[in-house]
Amino acid sequence: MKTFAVALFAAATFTGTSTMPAVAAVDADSPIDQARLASQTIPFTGVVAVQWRDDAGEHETRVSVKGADGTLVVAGGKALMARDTVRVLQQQTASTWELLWPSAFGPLTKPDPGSKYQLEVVAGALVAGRPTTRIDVRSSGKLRERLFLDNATNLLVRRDQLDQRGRVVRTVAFVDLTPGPAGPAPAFPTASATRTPTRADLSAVRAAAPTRLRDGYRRIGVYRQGHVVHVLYSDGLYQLSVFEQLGRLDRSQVPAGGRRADVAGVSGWRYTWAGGDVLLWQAGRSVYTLVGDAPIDELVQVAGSMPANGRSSLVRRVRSACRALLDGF
Amino acid sequence: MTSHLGDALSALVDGHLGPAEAASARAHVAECSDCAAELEAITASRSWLRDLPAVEPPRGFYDRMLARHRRRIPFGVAAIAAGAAASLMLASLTTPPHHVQPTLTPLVQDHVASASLVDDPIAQMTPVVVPSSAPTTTVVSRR
Repeated sequence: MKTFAVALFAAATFTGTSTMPAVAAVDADSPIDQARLASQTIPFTGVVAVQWRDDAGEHETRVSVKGADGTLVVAGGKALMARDTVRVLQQQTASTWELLWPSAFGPLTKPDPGSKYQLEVVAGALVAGRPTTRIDVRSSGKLRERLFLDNATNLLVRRDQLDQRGRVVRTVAFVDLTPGPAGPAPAFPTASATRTPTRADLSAVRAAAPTRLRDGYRRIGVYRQGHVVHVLYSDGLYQLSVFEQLGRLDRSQVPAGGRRADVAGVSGWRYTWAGGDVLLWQAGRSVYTLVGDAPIDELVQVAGSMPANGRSSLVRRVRSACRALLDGF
Repeated sequence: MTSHLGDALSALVDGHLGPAEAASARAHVAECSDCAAELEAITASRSWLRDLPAVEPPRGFYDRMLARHRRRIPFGVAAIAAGAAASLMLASLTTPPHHVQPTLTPLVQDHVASASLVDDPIAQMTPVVVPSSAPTTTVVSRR
């Protein structure tokens, strides 16, 4: 994915503008809730570094972020993005913005992570020169994440992700952070274009988009854009998206940069990017693309638990052909 | 979502639906992946059958067939049915599937856009990929 530039959504600031929903209830004993409240109320500017590791080595990229009044603007390379709690836009030219995610789908609520993860609060290291509190996130006794909250503001200022062997494989951290107003608040842009075809929110889906996947992932959204069905899952900590496209994978057109990997019992492809991993494979009569920021071992397991659409593809095709043949007489 | 179109898909392909019914059916297909897949299969199957070359029967075929038909009608029906079934099976097996050329950038964009709207600070720290030619990604070390 060499053509990707990377921007980052850092801790957003959400205050009570007219488009903003009310701040959700906050558990004073929950450090995660405190961080969420901070991200909704404290303006900031800063620079965030993303470091990640894959088979090619270690990578790093940096983006600048500015948030205030419910708007977050992220700049990385030539890319500029803006978001609030319900919309995401990307700048196309100096004066035009494309709506990547419409407000009609609203904010999403993910499941309580407490049923899968255990949190432990300890003293943290300095991040961007600021004292922090560290939250170790474990699942089945295994350390999965280290979260660092700024002691002064409760903002989430660093996130380390570990692999199965306990090695840090991805770090997202402020290298420069200035809480408080810094100049005029960024104005939320007006979308002048919408990605086409437009998305549709689906009220009912078939079995290929189960409400639950293994490892505690629950479905929190289903969308369609053109012939692509997008199902969003969360386990309370990580989000993953499963995209399904009917048809046969054109292996000659598989994007460069991927590595062959066993996915869901078949030979597929794996890609690593700044924010996570991508798995691509064919199952039944559909092509699946799984995108997520969870550890790769978990993504592979979840992919293996997907019920492949089209296990009975021959039956379906015979039935369709039969109907066509009989209609022809 | 309403129930599937079923036989109305065949009528849609054949142009047997009225304008309003056809518009309604197309709207349903646009929203229903099952019906979209079925419509695609029906269209492909018919296209395949339509493109089959015409075969000239051997001399005396019809006379022999009619003679058998006069003697043993049930066998003739069975033979025709078997032939139809075989054709059907062949058509279903050889109907070319739609080829998917995977493009990851828009899918990753959709993921990060949707995932970043989950109401918690962790999701808001989710990196967002933006398609751009700007080479901001660098390898700082190799293993």
